[in-house]
Amino acid sequence: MDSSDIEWVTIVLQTITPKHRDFRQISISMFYLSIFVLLGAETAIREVEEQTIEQWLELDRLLVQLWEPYSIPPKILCCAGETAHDLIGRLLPETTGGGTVNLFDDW
Amino acid sequence: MSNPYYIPPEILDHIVDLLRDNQNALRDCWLVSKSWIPRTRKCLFAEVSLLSEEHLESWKKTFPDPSTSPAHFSKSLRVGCAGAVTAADAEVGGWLAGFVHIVHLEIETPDMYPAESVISLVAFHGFSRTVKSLCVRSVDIPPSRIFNLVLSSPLLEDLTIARYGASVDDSDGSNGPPTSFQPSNPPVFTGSLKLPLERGMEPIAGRLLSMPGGIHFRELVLKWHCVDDIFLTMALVGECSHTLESLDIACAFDGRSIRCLQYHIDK
Repeated sequence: MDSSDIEWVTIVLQTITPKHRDFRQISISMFYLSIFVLLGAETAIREVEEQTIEQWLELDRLLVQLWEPYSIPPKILCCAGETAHDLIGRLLPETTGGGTVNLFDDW
Repeated sequence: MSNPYYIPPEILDHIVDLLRDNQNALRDCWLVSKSWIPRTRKCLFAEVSLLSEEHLESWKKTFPDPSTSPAHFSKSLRVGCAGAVTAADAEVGGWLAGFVHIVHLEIETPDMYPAESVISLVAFHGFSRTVKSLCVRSVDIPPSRIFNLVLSSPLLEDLTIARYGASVDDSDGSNGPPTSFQPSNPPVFTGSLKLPLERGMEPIAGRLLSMPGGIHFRELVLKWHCVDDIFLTMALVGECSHTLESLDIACAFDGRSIRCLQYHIDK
């Protein structure tokens, strides 16, 4: 899988259309980010962040779009701790800033 | 003179119901009085686990006659020795049919289970017409057999497949020619679909997507391990458009990020 998973998450979420009348919950679990944080792989985190930030920001915008008309608060599952939460905050600034992302500890 | 220790049946039902998750307390209730036995039995045998051949032998020894066993009180059956259960069913002739009111069926084999060749699930086909929830976790059962079991449960709402066998054996395990189960009344699939599969979703999701009556899941819980899983997710989301309420995606593998991590670890 050469593309980032996060790019694919965005593509999949774009398939949610007005036909999905009953849709009300999205949950995304990012195992690899949790592993990076747990391993304390700060250089790798920075590199991945640099390489995929555009894709994350695109997901961020899409989550906001889904939140506004459909009131769907996304759940982002990652490991516990300030590092992970700061990271998600940088990757999804609009959704975390608006308080629409629920961070759940996945470990 | 009325019995001062008399407890009205509805109060007794409520007491036993509150204790349904406490097996020890239920066993104590069983010993209180004969009048407590029928109510307690319903809760005590509501969930039955036959995780090993020892469990199965113990059950058969305690309840040798399937027609009088408390199996018909069971709503949930967890089987960890499908091969032995199948043999018991063949031996007694419809032993499994005693579990006629099962709503939740779980079939699993431990990771390090001794090779039992390829397990047949034919005995489980339609043994309880009330099964609404099915969970399979076994590396000994090929997808075709799992799916034939799925199709034999017309009321099935929730489906969880956590593991499947790598065998390409497409026969039904009945020593006859390979057959594909043809249901007269296929399941409606209106609950949740959970596919946390390490070998990819295709063998199960592909079959679900070609169901003639369609699928109508309300909840999708999917784990990605390859690009195919992503396209199958899109297809499932599209197929369930009128019913889908919740989508849970777990990205278990991101090639670029893992390579980056590997590079930094190696350095």
